[in-house]
Amino acid sequence: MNETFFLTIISAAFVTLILKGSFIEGSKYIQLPQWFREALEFAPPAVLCALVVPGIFKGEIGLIKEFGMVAIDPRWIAAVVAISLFLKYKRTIDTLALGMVVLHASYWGQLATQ
Amino acid sequence: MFAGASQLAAYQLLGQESSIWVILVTVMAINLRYVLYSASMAPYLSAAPRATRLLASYGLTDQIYAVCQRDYPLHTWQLSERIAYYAGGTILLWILWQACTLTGALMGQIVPIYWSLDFMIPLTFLALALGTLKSGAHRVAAVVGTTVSWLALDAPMNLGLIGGGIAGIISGILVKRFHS
Repeated sequence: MNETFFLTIISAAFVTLILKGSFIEGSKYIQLPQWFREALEFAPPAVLCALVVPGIFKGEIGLIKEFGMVAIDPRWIAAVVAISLFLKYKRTIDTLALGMVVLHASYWGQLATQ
Repeated sequence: MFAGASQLAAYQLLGQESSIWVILVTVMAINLRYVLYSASMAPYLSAAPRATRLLASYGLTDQIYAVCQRDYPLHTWQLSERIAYYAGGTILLWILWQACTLTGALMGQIVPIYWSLDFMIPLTFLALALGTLKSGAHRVAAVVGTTVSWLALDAPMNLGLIGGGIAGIISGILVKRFHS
């Protein structure tokens, strides 16, 4: 909890409010340009995927910070399993839960056998 | 800030020492959809007083957009009835949201680090991202976004994320235009 943290949250909230209020508040007769509609269509897959990458390849999870490294980063194994599960069953909560189970199983399994 | 996905993203990026600008651009990209919601709610709400409009803007979510977009055209409601409908859904959602956020903040101090609950953030985005792959162009956007973000993993301030997002969006648009 420091200044940057609060500055970030407050400015993010401000940006969000501006986006949400853009039309309800302001010029209701402006048409959204075509390129904007197209960008909007592809923003979710592009941005969300780009966001997943550092979460899986950058930094360290709590397990490794507390109990040390193992040969294969358990996040990679968990991510592969989660992707396959979601593509097959399309169930968000189950994917989250099983992803976490696989994360722990693959970590403790590797730790026990090394 | 009452916008879940972008809040999670901001939290993950804060933990990775990203610059505030990268975080803001990411939040903006994730929340761009609200501009579309705002535009389709405007005809129903823009006659309301300023304070009401501001509150309605703050309270705009995927959920309230979904129900209002479905129900406003079906009824011949007065402005006050439309506002009441909007407020009913939003206030309920807001209370639940704040209660869950508070619970999370308190629980977060008790849960041990080794549980690695942080990893649920990329898992959530993974599931959300895979749920958006409804066409070939969407899949191209996803693959390009992932690849660029991975190649630029060591770029300063997590800039690879912005690069990946932009490259993914542009390639999605190009593929769609090429096919039509």
